Amino acid sequence: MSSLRLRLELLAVVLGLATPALAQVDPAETDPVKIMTAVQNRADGDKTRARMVMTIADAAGRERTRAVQSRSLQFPEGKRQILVFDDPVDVKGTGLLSIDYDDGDKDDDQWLYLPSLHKTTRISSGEKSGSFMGTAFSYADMTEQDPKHWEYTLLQASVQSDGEDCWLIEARPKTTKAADETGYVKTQTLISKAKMLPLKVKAWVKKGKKIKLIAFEDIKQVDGIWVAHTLKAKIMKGDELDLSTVIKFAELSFNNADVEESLFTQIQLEKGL
Amino acid sequence: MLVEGDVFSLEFLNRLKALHEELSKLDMEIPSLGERKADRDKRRHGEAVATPKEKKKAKKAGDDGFGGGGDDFAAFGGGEDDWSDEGGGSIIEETRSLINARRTRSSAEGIEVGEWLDPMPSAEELPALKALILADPTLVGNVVGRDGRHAVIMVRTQFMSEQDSIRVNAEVTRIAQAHEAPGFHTQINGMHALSASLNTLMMSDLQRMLVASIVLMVGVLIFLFRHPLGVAVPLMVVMFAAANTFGMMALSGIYVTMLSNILPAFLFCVGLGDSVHLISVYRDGLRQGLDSHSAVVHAVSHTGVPVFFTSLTTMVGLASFKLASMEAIQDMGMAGAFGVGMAMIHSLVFLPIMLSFNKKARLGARPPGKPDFLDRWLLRCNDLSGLRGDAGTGPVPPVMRVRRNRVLLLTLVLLGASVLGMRLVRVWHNPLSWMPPDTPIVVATNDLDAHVGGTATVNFLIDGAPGKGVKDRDLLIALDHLAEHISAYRDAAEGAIVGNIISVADVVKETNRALHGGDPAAYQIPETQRGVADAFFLFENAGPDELRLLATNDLSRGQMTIRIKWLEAWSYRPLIAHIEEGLQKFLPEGARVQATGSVYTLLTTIGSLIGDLLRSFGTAFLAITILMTLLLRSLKLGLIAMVPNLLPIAFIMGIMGVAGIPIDMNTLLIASIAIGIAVDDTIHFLHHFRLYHDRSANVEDAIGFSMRHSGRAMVSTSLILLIGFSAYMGSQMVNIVRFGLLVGLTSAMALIVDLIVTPALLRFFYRRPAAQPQEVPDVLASTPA
Repeated sequence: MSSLRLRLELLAVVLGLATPALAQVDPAETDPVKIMTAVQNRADGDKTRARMVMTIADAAGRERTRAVQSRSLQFPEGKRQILVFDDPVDVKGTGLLSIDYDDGDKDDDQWLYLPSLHKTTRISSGEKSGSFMGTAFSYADMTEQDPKHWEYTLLQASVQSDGEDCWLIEARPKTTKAADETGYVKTQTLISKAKMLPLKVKAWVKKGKKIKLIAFEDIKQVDGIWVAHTLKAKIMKGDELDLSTVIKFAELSFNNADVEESLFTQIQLEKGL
Repeated sequence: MLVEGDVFSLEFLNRLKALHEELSKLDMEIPSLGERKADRDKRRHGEAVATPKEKKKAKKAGDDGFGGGGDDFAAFGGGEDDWSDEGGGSIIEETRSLINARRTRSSAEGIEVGEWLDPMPSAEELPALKALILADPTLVGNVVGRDGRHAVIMVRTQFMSEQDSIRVNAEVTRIAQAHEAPGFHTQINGMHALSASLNTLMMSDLQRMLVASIVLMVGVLIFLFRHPLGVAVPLMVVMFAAANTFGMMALSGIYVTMLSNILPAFLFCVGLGDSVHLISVYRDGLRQGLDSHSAVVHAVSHTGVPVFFTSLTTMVGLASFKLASMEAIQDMGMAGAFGVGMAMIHSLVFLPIMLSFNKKARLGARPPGKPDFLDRWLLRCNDLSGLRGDAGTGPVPPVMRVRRNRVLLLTLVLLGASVLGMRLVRVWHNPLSWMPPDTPIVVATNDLDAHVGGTATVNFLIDGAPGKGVKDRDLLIALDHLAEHISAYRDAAEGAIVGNIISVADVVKETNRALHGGDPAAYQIPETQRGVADAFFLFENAGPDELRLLATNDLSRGQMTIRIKWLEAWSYRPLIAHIEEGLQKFLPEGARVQATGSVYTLLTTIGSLIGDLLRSFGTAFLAITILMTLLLRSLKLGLIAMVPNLLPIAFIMGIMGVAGIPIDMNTLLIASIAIGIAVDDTIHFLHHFRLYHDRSANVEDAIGFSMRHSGRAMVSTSLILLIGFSAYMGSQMVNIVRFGLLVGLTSAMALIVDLIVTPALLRFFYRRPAAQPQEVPDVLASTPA
């Protein structure tokens, strides 16, 4: 059973979409695999501090909000992340520590600290196509997808979106693993040529024939890296909204000196950030 | 879907997995998939609803609150919410069975959230797994039977139309049948399957019976009129009216439902009634020596007004269903009223045109002065309260007085007996009992009730106190107590009928147990509010999709689902009283409960139906009285008319009570047809009575005239209905048999009352003139009404 991917991989996605100059490809490039590989291979920021607010709404407009603080650091074996809830009051202090191993065959590890028990427990789960913490994002959305499991097609070499020149690339899972993990029949992604950053994703969700739409907005440079500060996702059932989520980063910074190894321990998880 | 076999054998589980996976992948072209139920309802109520195209245009025009602009996703082509022709999706939103049943358990390393059968256990591990699963109250009665011999696969789709739901049900059945194997027996059940089976059986049976009924009616038409014109034209009138009605339904977005299936049969009643009256009077004109053209004029001038009024009263009766609370009944009423109107127009316009082509045919009319069987029979009816040869003036002859009073007394006795019989009529709505006992859905429902949790459900939507929601520990404890209280219920006849109860409290208890190292004693609501919040936090991360089935996104509202054995709807009332007592007792202050589910739906349906029936009948009765008074231009005659209108209904209700035929949705609809039939005969008879009585002031002459000029047509019409509807008694469905029996009986009763009781009433309430009034010219020379 693989480990529960309950970690701040969401942040990894945002950072994963950052674009160093080295990853830049020619705007005239028409090979979708090259384009997607370049997007996947851009450098991540490290020693990250972030604070974000998640707002989840359902079809009836019922909303709930959660505020989370996080830290992440690259270790030799993979990325460690710590996540502590600030708000609402009833989950304040609840924390999660996760290790996302670089070795794709190794299950991720995750520990959960629940204040009512005053102890940390290790948790594991296998479901990836399910909702991430009740949001419109899935665990798979939070995970970088290996290009070798996908078949890419360039649908349009140049298309305008939010005033930016983009590639429109379609991805279909080539393997059962990719299809099962994401639950998608296919996705279409608009990638900004200037920022090498996905701006919009439309995903065809197999279960119930739903459509998921993801938008990356409020894109700003942090330490020279383009980062979306707002992520939006909505799931449509026919023409009806099923669930929507907005994640806004109130704070986001890289290369923080105080983000050090000692922070990513069970003891620190119980103390909080 | 119920699957029978040795559930805890590897062979069974592998087959179950294959079936589960195939069902999860089910894909079909479903036009109504994801349609907004609210939009469909609005459209059916005549409210403006934007089309998908208009909605997309509106989105482009403004910010949709997502992504900064309505045309954000325009670059993808198609609509934002458009699945288009993409393959590989599944119309199934959720498939739940033992195969993907979630398990939160404690292990040496921590908490593991997974599925019971992932990975598939070995044969050696199965006995231990069986013991664990059969001890889990959230699984037993839900996805597995108590004895380990039955497994359940639950399939959930998005909202879709009834027609599409039937198609999906058929496809699910096909898949299940393909997986059938020795030791792996599948049965489809549930409310959708029941509805689909009922609809399919009723459709096919009604169609077959309609054909048989038409054949019989054609036979009677041939016997009566003995000419293609007398057979083909009434049938064409009916077919035109039916085509107009279904066309109107299609144009106005009225769905064909189980209720509207009855419309063709109903329109046959009305359309043939109108046509036969006109042709009968036309034929009488021929018999009196008129040429075809004059006979057409005679028929329309003498029968046009009563045909108009019979149609009007029937339309009013049906339109009164607009007051019903059930949309299907409202629609059926409006479509029926429209159809009756069209049948009248075709009878008064198309039919005379067709008759005008007739040059020589006498349509079975005998030469003048030669009374036939019908004439003799009508005379005998008249003799029951009258006296042959009586001039109708001066004092009432003693023999006539005795005969009249005897008829009225006998009517009163029969009415009294009917009232006693009516007291035995019970409200008893069980659509399952309409079908033959060996129908697959009946067998499946009985098996599910016997071995798993039950087919019927009660769902409670529970709103926690403001600011607390379902995370409130007091509310969760209350739900736990409420579940115990409901489980303890015993039905007087059936014993334990409550199967499985699941609520958000169960997952909190399960999670709490996992958080406490799997300690069985920790299978309870956590001791602190913070503990509850932590259990929710863990569960939300472990099974967010499952949590959404049990509670709203903001956790302000939760759900409790209770599975119950299938019973007749009215029998659930004591259970509901028991549940409501529990709600009063346990629910904390500020919490609110809204009840849904099939049990409440059935009870509400029946409750609404009774209310609807009373409202509709009250309105129809009042409107028909007013209309008859207007038609007959006499309040006295209008009030007298109500007696023959209501007597057949009273007699039928009495028969229903004695014969044990209950009041349910089916019989209530029959009542609407019955009142139409009863009123029609009365209108025809009293219209002719009034016409002649106004001129002669002689009751006996007026009764004789009515007998001769409308009595014959009334007998013909009733004969057609009686024989035609007897065909429905050959159906395999009990409700259709009752339909044929009751409509046929009503038409016979209405005829007998109008030919025997109405003359007696008229003789009782109308005074005889002292002297012979002046000679009245024969009707053929009289001015039409």
